[in-house]
Amino acid sequence: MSWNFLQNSNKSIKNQVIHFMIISITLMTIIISIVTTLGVNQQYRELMLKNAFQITEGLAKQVIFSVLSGSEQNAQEAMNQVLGFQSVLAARLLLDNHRNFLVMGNYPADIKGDTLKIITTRVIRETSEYWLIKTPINESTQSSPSEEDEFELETEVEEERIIGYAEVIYSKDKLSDAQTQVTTLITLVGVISVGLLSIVLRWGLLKLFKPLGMLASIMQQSRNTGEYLLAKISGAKEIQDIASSYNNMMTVLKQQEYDLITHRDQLEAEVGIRTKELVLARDSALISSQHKSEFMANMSHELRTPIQSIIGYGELVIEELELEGNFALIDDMDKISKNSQRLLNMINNLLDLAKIEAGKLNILQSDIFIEELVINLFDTIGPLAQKNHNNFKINPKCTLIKIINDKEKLEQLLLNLLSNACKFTEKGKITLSIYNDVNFIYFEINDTGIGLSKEQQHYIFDEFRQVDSSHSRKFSGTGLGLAISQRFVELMKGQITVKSELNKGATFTVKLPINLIL
Amino acid sequence: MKPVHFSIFFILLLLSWCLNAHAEELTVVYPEVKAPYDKIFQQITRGIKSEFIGTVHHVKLPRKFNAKIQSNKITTNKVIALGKRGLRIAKQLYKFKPVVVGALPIKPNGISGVSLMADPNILFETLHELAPEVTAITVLYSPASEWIIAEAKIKANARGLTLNHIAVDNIKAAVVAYNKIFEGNNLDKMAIWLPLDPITANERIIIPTILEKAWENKMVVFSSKPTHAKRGALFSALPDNELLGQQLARLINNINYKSRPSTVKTLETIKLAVNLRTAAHLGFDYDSNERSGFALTFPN
Repeated sequence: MSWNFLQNSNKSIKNQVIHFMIISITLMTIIISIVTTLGVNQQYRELMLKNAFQITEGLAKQVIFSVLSGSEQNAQEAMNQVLGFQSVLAARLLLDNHRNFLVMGNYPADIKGDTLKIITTRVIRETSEYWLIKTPINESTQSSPSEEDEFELETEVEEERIIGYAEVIYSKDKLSDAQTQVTTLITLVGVISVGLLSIVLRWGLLKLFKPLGMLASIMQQSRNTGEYLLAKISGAKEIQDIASSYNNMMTVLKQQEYDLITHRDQLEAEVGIRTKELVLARDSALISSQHKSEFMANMSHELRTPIQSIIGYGELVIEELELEGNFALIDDMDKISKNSQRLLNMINNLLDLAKIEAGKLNILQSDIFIEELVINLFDTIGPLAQKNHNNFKINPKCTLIKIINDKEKLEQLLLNLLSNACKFTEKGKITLSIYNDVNFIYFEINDTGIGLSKEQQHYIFDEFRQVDSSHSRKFSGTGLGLAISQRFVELMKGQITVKSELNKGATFTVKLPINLIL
Repeated sequence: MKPVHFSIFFILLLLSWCLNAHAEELTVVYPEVKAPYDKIFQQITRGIKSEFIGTVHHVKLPRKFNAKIQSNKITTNKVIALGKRGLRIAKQLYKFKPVVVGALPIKPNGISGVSLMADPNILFETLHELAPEVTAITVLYSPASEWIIAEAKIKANARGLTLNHIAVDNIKAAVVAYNKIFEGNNLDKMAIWLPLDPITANERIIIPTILEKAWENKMVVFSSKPTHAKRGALFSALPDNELLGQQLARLINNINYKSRPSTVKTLETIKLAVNLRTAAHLGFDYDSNERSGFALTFPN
């Protein structure tokens, strides 16, 4: 449990340390108490046993004379002395054949006479209430060696002869009492120690961790308010170092923020200036564009009107010349008429472009019947294809009967693409495929003409750009057709793409929504 | 110078040379012991020096030594060996040169010497002075102290004292005999004499009980061993160490080491150690004159 607690990041380090220390101290105190109690009790037991041994051996020494003389009376005083010890319950003297010599005190009835021959003092029997200690009574004439022996003659070392045994029943009551007292005392001391240590430890750790807590609080406050609050530098060395580093960091951040704000203000000011300039430029460009468009529209109209007159009068002259049979002039007039028509087309394209740029070209939604469209396109492009000996075919694979979009613009852009295909293909094939999916209809114009290089594919939809823009170019045109077609497709919420390789023809694909939603 | 003067001078010179040429040398060997026991040997040696005419050499014997090697180092013609370690040297030399042994309770056994056993006459005389009511003395003896009994009996009789001498040869017999003594009557007229005997005066088994019983029965106990007075005997004999030394010096000059049996003398002079508490318990009160004659009194 304590390990999980230590890994709990929701608790403060202060509380974790306090808990850990208290648990450790408690465990340590318990272990020390147990070990001390066991040690003390063991020592006390050994001390009591030693005491009992001494009493028994003392009795054995005192009764040698009595046992040797066979006189119980002589032994009684020694026995009485021994029984005078509080813990001695009874004593017994045995002869060397284990017959009783003298018994005094309350000898436990459950002790049967044993005939164990011993040569040293031993515990013969131990119960929870007493020890039965037995020692041999030695008839040894040898006393401990001393310097006094220098004045004694050397005597033969006699074998110690055992003339009997002394037994003492030594009560364990005192031992039990002492052990209980020791255990109680040590437990009490342990509990008090743990309590006092815990209090002191808690107080000390609270004091130690207070600066850390204050530092954490400042950091928290700083995070919540976004201010660069400085911490008080106090406490242990490491905490002071942390606080100092934190303060440095706050100072640097504050300075950085100030610099950022200053820089931002500067940038904003510059952006404002630039924006104003851009707005001016935009407005100027818009005005310029508008002027341009208006100019284009006006000029287109001013230009178209006389051209249309020229074309009209030219047709009249051609009719009259045909009536007169003046065929030489008809060719010239035909050329004038064609060039005028070309000029008119160019003016119309310019006008359309101007309208698109001015934002004045609108989409007129209407039903476009596919069959009708196909017939119109075939009628218009068929003769145009034959001029360059091309084979023109339409593949209507579309499942739709009609679509909703701007009919005029669709026809114009398809005618534009098909006329380009006729213009750039000689003795080849031109195919218009019409197919659809769920949401879109596709018009795919494929030719086997001169094709386009990768570079040309990038700019063919630009205004006034042609595949051959040199002075001696072979193919005529204004360079506006594809630009206008792309604008029309964009207005109709569609897409126009080209795939081509030089000298291998080209495929233009127009993708339009089936139902144009404006 | 006249011829007669020259003759006298020459004779004196010759005499002096003769004396120097035949000056006696003696080696005293004794144990190297700590205080206070070393003083005993110093006093004995002092006594020897005061009595012996000649040069006295000293050899201190450590606790462990080779008796044969040490004895070979002794070059003097005469040797006085003291204590148990000295006896080991004496046993190596006594057949080859005059050797006497002292500071031991020796008995006649081939080596001459002065035993620590006090002259019974002196003991009985002291007994009479200190405990005049005593008329009978009981002594237990074993082969170690048997040699003094005959003389003791004569001396006791000469003083009108009855000497009951009981021979024992083991501790048990001694215990039984002593027990019987204490069961007897007229114990106040009887004294127990503890000779220098390892059995009948065994320090561990006999002495504590005897002294205790004697106290209980108000019996006089006197001893030939100095320490018994401290333990409760009425009095015990202390050797006069300097006089012992003199006695040893006289003996070494007189013995014929080749003759058998050896000469073992008792202590001719003793000092007294008296236990005044025992005396009081027994009803004896000694005046200052008497006390002045006591070398040691107990308790201190």
